[in-house]
Amino acid sequence: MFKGTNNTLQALPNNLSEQRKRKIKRILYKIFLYAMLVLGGFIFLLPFLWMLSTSFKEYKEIFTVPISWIPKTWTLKNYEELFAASEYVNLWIGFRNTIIMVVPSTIVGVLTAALAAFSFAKIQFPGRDKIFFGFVATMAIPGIITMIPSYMLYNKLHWTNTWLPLMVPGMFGGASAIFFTRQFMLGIPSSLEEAAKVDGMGWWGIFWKIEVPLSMPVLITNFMFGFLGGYNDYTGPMLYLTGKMELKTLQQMISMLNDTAGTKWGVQMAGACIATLPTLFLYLFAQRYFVEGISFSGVKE
Amino acid sequence: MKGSSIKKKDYLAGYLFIAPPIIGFMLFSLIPIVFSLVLSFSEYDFFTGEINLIGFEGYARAIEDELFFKSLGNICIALGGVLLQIAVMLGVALLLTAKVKGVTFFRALFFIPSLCSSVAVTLVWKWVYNYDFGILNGLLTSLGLDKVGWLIDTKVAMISMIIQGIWMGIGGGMVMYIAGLKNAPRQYYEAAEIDGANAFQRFFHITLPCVSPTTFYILVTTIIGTVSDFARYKLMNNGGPDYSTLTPVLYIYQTAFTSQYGYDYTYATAMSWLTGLFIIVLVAATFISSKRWVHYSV
Repeated sequence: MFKGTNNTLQALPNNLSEQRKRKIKRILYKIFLYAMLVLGGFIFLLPFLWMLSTSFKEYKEIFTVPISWIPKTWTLKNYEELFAASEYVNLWIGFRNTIIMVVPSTIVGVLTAALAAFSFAKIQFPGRDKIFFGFVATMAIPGIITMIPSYMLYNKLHWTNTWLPLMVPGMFGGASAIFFTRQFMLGIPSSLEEAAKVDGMGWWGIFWKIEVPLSMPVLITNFMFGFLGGYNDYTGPMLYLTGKMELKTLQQMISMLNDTAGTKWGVQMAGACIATLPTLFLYLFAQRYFVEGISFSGVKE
Repeated sequence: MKGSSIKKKDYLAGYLFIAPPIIGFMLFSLIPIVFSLVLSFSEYDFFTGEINLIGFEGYARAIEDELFFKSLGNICIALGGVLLQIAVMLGVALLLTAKVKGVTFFRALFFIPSLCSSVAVTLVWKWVYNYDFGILNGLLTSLGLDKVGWLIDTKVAMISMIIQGIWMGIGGGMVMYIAGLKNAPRQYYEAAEIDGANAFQRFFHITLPCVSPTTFYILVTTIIGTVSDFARYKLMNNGGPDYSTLTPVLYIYQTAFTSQYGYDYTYATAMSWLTGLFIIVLVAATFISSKRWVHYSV
């Protein structure tokens, strides 16, 4: 404290040059910040630009040295070839399958998780908190341990080469979704439920009429992440959908381009573009839910 | 009398509502875990489907398996990359919380790769890393430097995986850091400024301790995610060149599900338990060390 006062006293005579110094320092700092941001942003954008540029190039131009950044002749050939159905790849079927598989099971999963979260947050019953923390602890179990036995069990049930192993487990509600929804519901004032109870509403009614509408932000966030998880999943379909093309997902088909399109990098990049497009749209329209959902999970922990 | 019957109704509703996830956990996690434990101590006949207990043989084999150790070594390199990844997350978050324009745009730029599928991203990076026609070697050549065998040089391949991993992995942590940095109390910085602390001192004595709970959360989830990462490694190089990007999870997959190692379910399960233990030890070590460097009171 004493040192601080001393400094101020000494600084008084050459106040003007000190101020100018500070201003220059601040401007330099700003320039540095923007330079870093633009450089970093460019590095992050580069692979996307490279993907986009290659997807519109003619086959010959892809293999030119030095590389061309902007296609000399723009072509849609790669996209035409990508969407032309073949024996292994039919993007329309892949997209349809992915949506049918992911959307309903994610909605059911989000709601069962919300129901359990509601119970953990608002209803009193013996052993509630112990069960909850036990449940949260299961998140720490490494998934690799169950990969092989799960496959063998599903095989026994004749669930392989059906969508069931990829749909059914998620519908029962995941631990992390329960955790975040509970956290959110704890913030909803219980006076609302008390009032509803006085009016003779049961827990089931309270859940649907009060908790679900008020928890919409966290439910939408859970749905977004659940949907993207399913949409992007590669390992699950690779293990369980090994047979007919008619059952395969979009990501599987895109990954197959690696083999079927060989050196046709233009077609592969067109595939990567198409696979990325829905994600991009989802982010643009629901940015708030992604960002707030993640911020929430990081801060509350 | 009336009160207790209402309470009983409460209990019933409470248990009923948590039943689905608990049943789901038992069916799809607990049963496979128990089965997995049995398998890891057994021998499995692929053709007859017979399972015979043989004891620790699978584990003993894993301990002598050079490839398994090689894969553990590789994943340790990737874990070294985790520290770099967290530094990048924090660095970008610091840039985005300084008063700059276009935050939404830049945040999207750094965040979107983490939402994209491993399949699409790996396809793109395979092309970015292409030795003859890829963009990175194109840049190096135009700067007059030698080309790098990003995916074909055994010394570089794992580093290439780390770089791609950082590109597609900083999004979530970055957003968490932004939230954490915004919550750091202003008066600490003001007090530090009065005391004449420079930028470095402020960073190490205020910023880092303030975001340490966030760092801890990110560290734990990133460690688990890094060891469990599968799709990228499978699609980029399938473990090559010369096993230099073979990870335990990829090796377990190859052992169990490809003819390469003869569909050896039981041996793969033994290795998956060792890998699971490896993850648990890492996470436990992080938890224990956290008492020294995580500050919840700020």
